[in-house]
Amino acid sequence: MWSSIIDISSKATKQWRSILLIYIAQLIIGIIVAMSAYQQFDSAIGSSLELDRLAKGFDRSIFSDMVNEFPIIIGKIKGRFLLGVAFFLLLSVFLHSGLLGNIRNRQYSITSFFTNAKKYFVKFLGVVFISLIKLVVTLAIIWVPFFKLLGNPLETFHSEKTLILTIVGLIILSVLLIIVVWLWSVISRYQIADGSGWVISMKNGWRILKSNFLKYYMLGIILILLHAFLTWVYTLAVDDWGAETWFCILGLVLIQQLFSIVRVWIRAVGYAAVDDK
Amino acid sequence: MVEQRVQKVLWIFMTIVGLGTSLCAQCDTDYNQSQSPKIANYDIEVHLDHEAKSASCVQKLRWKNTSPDTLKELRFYMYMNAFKDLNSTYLKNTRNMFGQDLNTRTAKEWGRIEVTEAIDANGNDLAQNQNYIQPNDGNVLDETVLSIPLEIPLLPGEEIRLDMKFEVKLPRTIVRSGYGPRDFFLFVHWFPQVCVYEKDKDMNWGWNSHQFMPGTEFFADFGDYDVTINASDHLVIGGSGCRVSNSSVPSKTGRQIVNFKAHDLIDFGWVAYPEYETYTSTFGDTDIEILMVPEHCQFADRYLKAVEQGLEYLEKHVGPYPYPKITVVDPPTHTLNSGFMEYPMMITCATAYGIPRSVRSVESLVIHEFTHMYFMGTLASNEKEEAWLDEGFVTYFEDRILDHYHGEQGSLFDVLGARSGNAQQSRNEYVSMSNPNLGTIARPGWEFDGGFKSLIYAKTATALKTMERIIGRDIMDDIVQTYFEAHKFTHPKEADLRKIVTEVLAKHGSDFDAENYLDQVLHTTGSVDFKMVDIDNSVGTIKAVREGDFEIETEVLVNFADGSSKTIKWGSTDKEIEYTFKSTDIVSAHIDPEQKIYLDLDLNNNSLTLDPNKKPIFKYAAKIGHWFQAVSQWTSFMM
Repeated sequence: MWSSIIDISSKATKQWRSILLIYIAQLIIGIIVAMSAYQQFDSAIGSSLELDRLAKGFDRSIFSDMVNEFPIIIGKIKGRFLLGVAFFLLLSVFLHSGLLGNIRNRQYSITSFFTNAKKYFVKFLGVVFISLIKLVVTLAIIWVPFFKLLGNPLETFHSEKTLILTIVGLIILSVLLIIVVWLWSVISRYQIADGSGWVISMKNGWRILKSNFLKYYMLGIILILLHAFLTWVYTLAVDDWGAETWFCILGLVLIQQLFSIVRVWIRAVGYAAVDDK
Repeated sequence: MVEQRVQKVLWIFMTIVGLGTSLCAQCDTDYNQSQSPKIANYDIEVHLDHEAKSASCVQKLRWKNTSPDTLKELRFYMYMNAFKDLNSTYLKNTRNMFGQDLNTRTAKEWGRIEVTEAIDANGNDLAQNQNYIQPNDGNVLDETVLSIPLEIPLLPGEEIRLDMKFEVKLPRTIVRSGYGPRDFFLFVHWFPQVCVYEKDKDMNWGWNSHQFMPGTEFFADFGDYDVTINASDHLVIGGSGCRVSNSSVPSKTGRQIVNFKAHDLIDFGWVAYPEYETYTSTFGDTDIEILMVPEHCQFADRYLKAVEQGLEYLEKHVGPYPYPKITVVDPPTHTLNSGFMEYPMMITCATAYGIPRSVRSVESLVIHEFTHMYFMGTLASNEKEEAWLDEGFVTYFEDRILDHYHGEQGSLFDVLGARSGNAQQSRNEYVSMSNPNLGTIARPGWEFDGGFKSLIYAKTATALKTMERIIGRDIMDDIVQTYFEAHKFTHPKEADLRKIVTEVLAKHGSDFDAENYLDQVLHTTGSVDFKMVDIDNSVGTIKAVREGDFEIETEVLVNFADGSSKTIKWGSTDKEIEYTFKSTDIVSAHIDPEQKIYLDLDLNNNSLTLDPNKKPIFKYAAKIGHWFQAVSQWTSFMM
C-alpha cells in the first residue's frame, strides 16, 4: 500500500517541469484576475483612510459601502474571474494533454510536454467533449427528477431536515458518479495515447475501469478528500489571517501559491495512479 | 453491583435535579399585579376541535372606561376575519404571500371569527345589534373591526362585563395565526379583543380601532388573562402567561385541560403541536420555556442562551423584565410563516437544520423577538401608527446585544474569513436602499409602499446608534431607562419619548440638539453623505462636501507630515467647507474620524490620504487571485 503510494507520488513528482508549467499558466491568468481586482479596489477606496481599518482584518462595512457606491466593481471582478476560468478550462485540455502524454510515455522534458500536448490535443478534446456530455447527463438524471418532484419544498417536506439531507445525499451521489466519469475519461485518454481510435479507447477505457473498479474508485475518492482537506486547512489557517505588514502579506502569498502547486501536483498524482502501463 | 449502585445514585441525583428544575420552572402568577391600569380583562374558555381547525369559546370580558366620555358602543378587533377571503383590506391586493397562491385556496383553508352572543349585566344580548365597521378605508367587505352598541351607555370610570360566545376558525397559515400540517396550531389575534379608547395626538378622546391593514401589527390595552384550553391530549400546548394547571379530563375522552394565567398583558397567544419537545430553564427570576420541533433540538441550547443574554443585557440597560416567564416557540418549517413574531410572554422564532454556530441568525432572531417584550409588550406603543417606537428600538438593542456578546465585527456571521456584525447589517440594510430618501419613518404602517423594514427597523436603529455615539452610551442608557420606567404600561407616543430625551440631555448638560436631530430622522426623508473631495498641497487647502439634506455637525481631523494634526468644526448647515492651512504638508483629512455619524451613507469617502496604505488592497487582490487558481483547478478536473 505505502510502497505503491510512494511509487505513484514519485512518478508524479518526476513530472515537476510539467506541473510547474501548468501552475505558471494558471498563475499568469490568476495575476491578470488579481490585477483587475486590485485596480477596481484601488479606484474605489485607494485613497481612503478606511484602508488602515481594513488592514487589521475583514470589515464588512468597508466592502458594503464600496459595493453600494460602486456596484459595477463586483460585476467587473466577477466577469474577469469567470472569463479567466473559461479560458483556463480550454487551455487545460492542451496542458493536460501534455502532462498525460508525458506520464504515459515516461517523458519528463518541457519539449516532450509540448510535443505530446500538440499530438493529443484534438483527440483528447473529443474525449473531453464526450465526457462532458456524460457528466451533464449524469447530473440531469440525478437532479431533474428531484426538482420536478420538489414543488413547494415547505409543503412537500414535513421538515427541512429531510430536504437538506436529501440535497446533501444527492450531492454526495453526484460526486460519486462524477468520479466514475472522470476515471473513464482519463483511462480512455491513455488508450488514445497508446494509439487506439476514439470509440475503441472509450470501450477499452470502460472495460479497464470495470475490471479495476475498486482500486481506481478508491483512488478517486482519496483525491477528492485530499482536495477537500486542503481547502479546509487553507481556510482554517490562512483565510482569516490579518496580514498587516508587507512581510506577512508576502508570507500569505507564498502559502497560497504553495497550496496552488500542491493542487496541480495532486492532479498529476491522479494521472500517475491511473497509468497502469 | 457497584455499577447498579452508581446507577441508582445517579438516578436519585437526576430525579432531585429534575424535580428542582421543574419546581424552579413553576411560573409564579403572584408577580406584581398592579403594574398596569388593567383596562381590558379576559377569561376565556376554549374548546379546540383540531379536526375542524376551529374552536368554540366562551369569553367573560371586563372592560373599564378610563376616559371622561360616556360610551355607547364597544369596538373589537376581529382580525381573524382578515383571512376570511380575498376581500379583506389585508388581502385585497394580495394574491400571493410567502409563495402561496391564495387564489387556489379551498373554502376549508380560510379562517373567520364570529361573535354569537354578548350578554351584558342586565341580560341583554348585545350581539343582536353588532355590525362591522371600516374606519380606515370604508371597504364594506372588510370585517376586522366590530362595533357592539351598548343598551346602557357606559359612564366614565365604570366597568362593563360581557359574557360572550364566539367561534373561531383558523386559516391554513398565511401569516402568523393559522394551522399547518400534522396538527400545528397557532392562535394569535384569535379572540374578540377590545380596541383602545384613548386620547389622540390632538388630545381628543376616541376609539383607536384600525382595521387589520397591510404592513401593520397590533395595539391593545393591558389587562389580566385567564385562559382555559380544552384540547385533544395528543397536543403539546404552550402560550403567553403561566400554565397554572394541566390535567386530563377524568372521563378519559382523550382530552386535556390547560389553564394559563397572566397579568398586565396586551394580548394572549397560544400554540399547539403534538411533536413539540419542551426545554425549560430559569434565569434570575424568569422561567424560560422553549418548545422545539424534534429536528431542531440541537438548537435548544442556542435559543436558551440567546434568551438569557437578552434578559441579562436588557435588565441591565433598560429595566427589569416585568413578567415571570417567556415561552419561545420554534415553528415547524412547513408552517414557517407563523414564525418571526412577538406576543406578550411568547415569541415565535425560526431556524433551519444545519445552521452552523458561526451563523447567528438564530440568536439574532431570538434576541430581536425577546427584546419586543420590553418595547411591544411593556411600553406597548401603537405598532400600527408608530411602528418605529417598537421595531426601531428593538433592532437597536438587538444590534447592541449581539455585538456585546459576539463582537462588533462578527456577531451576525463569521464564516471562512467573511464576517459581519449585527449593527453593520442593520446599517447596510439602510444605506444600501436603492433610494434612502424613499420616505419618512414616523407614519402609519399602511402608508408605506416599500422600504418599511429598511426605514422602520434599520434606519431607526442606525439613527439611534448615531445618537448614542454622539451623546455617549451612558446618557443613551439613561434616556432609555428613564423612558422605560416612566412609560411602561402606558402606550407612550413620540412626544413622550422626545420629552424624556430633552430632560435627560439637560440633566447631563449635553448640548446635542436632539429636537432637530429627531425631527430630521423621523419626519424628513433626508440622508447624509460626507465626502472629502480634495487635498491641495500647492496652497495647503482641503475641500469637503455634505451630500444630502440631513443637517448635522461634525469635525474634520487633518494630519500633517510633521506628525501634528488639527481638528476643524463643521457646522450642521454648511453644505461644503474649504479650509486653507499655513502648512502645505497635509498628509490626510478625515471627516468624522470616530465614525459617530453611523447614518452616513458611505463611510469610505469620508477621508482622503496622500499616503495611502495599499497593503490591504494587495492582500485581497491576492486572495481573489488565489481563489481563481483553486476554482480553475477544480472546475478543470474533466479537461
